[in-house]
Amino acid sequence: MSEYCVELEHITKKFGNFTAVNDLTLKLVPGKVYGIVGPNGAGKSTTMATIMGSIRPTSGSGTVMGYPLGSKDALCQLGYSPEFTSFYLDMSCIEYLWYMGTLGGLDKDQAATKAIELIKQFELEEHAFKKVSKFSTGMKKKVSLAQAMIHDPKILLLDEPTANLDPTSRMEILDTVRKMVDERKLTVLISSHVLTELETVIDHVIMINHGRLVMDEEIHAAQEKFKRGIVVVSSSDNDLLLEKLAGKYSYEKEEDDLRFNTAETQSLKKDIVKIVYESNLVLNKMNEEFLSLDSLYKQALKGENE
Amino acid sequence: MKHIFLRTLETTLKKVSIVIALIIGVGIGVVLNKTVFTKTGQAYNECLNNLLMMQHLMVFFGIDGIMLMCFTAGSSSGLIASETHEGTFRLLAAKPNSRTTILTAKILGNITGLTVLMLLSLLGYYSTIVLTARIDGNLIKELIKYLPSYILYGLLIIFVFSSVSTLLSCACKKKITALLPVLVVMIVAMGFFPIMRIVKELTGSTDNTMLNMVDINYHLALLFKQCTSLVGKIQGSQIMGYLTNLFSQQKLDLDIVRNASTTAKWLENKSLSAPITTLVYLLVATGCYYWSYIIINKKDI
Repeated sequence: MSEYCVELEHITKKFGNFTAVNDLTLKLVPGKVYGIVGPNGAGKSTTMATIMGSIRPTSGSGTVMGYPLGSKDALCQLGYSPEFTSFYLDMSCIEYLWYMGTLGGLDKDQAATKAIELIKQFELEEHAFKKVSKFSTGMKKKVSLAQAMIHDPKILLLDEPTANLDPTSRMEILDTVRKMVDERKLTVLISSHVLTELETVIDHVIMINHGRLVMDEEIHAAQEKFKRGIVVVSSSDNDLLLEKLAGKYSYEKEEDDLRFNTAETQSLKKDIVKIVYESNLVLNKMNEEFLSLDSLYKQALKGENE
Repeated sequence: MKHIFLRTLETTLKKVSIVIALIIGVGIGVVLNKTVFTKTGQAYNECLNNLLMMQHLMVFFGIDGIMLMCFTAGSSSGLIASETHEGTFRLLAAKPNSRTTILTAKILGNITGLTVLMLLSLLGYYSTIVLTARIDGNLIKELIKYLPSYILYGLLIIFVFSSVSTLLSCACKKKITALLPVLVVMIVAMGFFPIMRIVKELTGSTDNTMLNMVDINYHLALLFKQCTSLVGKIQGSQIMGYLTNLFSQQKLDLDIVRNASTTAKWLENKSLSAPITTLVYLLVATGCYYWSYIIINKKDI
């Protein structure tokens, strides 16, 4: 039995002359939350659809929990919430979830129980008997998430789960995802453009650009790899501090703070401590900020484009 | 699979469709009452032949014709195309059901729903005849004898038309793209060819050989004849000849005919064989269904 729950080996997908995914190899470890990021048209949704079996790769192969992509056994392990939510116009919320539950292999009683349970978890009790087509965007996203989870999959694929939502709804969705992941020990693959939110949820970042894998790292390892950290310093005499540093590090002034941007954060910190001690300064603040996912993303893509 | 079958059956058996099917059945019964039963003093056989001819035509063109073809084209063309266009097919395919299972359940649900609509319409028709027609009970029994043939023919129409519509539904992204070709075929079969035939007869053109090969109206009439032959033979007549091409006009030698009004006789058109035509249509329909499965399994959703 493989240690990986999802394995993609040299997957290429072409639509006519356009190569959406180019020789992509990816392995997902169980129990982690993966963020898949990249510009529009990078191949994120195509990658997810390939894992789902909705799209047949032009070449390459893959497995989900050891089962071939697109097989019934593989689909049993997967829950999918697409970017654009679609529902049957004539169904109410509970009817829709029940139907999705039965399609997921649950019998009618189990499906009904799970539907009610998820409606409560997503706080949709008041709207259970209303037609889903009349729901707000946020509520539709919740229903979409609920239908992905109704048959208790081990792996969740969430394509832009917070797209087109207001900040409150986005936080609600992400909080729910976090809670579900912790409770059920799921493996999750989330694609999103809102990187500031994504980095609060994910353990591992996958970056794709022009269909190719740019980065596949634990988020902290990725930040370490790119090394450019931000050190925020404030002392009793910032001008003296800068003079003593003699332009060795680039910085920006922000009111009473100095923001140093350097790959050599350890060296910077040592120099600052030495100067403070020798010049008898008072060190008010010295904090290291890790590179945000947003900055990481920009740097990685910049390196890729160069 | 059961739930997809039931969902498709529910979608096919909309209230509007049920009401329309009943109205058409009852309507045809009323029309038959008005047009045939008003004649009095007819001999039994003459009355029966007229009744059967009208009933055959009404069922061929009406219940098992335009009505059933429209319902079949409408529901079958949307089986996959509608869901693809609306995005729900992606979610359906994301659940642990093979695409073969999904398509099979949809086809079976669709065919079952269409069969129910056909039966309701025939029920409406026969109920109207039985309850309101002021004719001999034996005549009514003769009319009802053909019910199994009409059901069999209706099932053939459903099978053939839904196969083509399903194939188009799998291949196209929108329902309208899948629906239009089938509607065109229906208009051609039920409208264009009978009109062309009448025009050709009136203009005196007798060579129909090439036309018979592409005359879908004639092919469907052969299927109809194949089904009704299980009960009895369809009597030749001018109207049957013009509207179905099952009979063609045979001019008789004037020297051996005493009465000028009987210079022409409507004899069975044996250009094509009914059993072979039926077999060919069944094979083509089976081929269409098979191709649908191939498309749906290879398709990117």
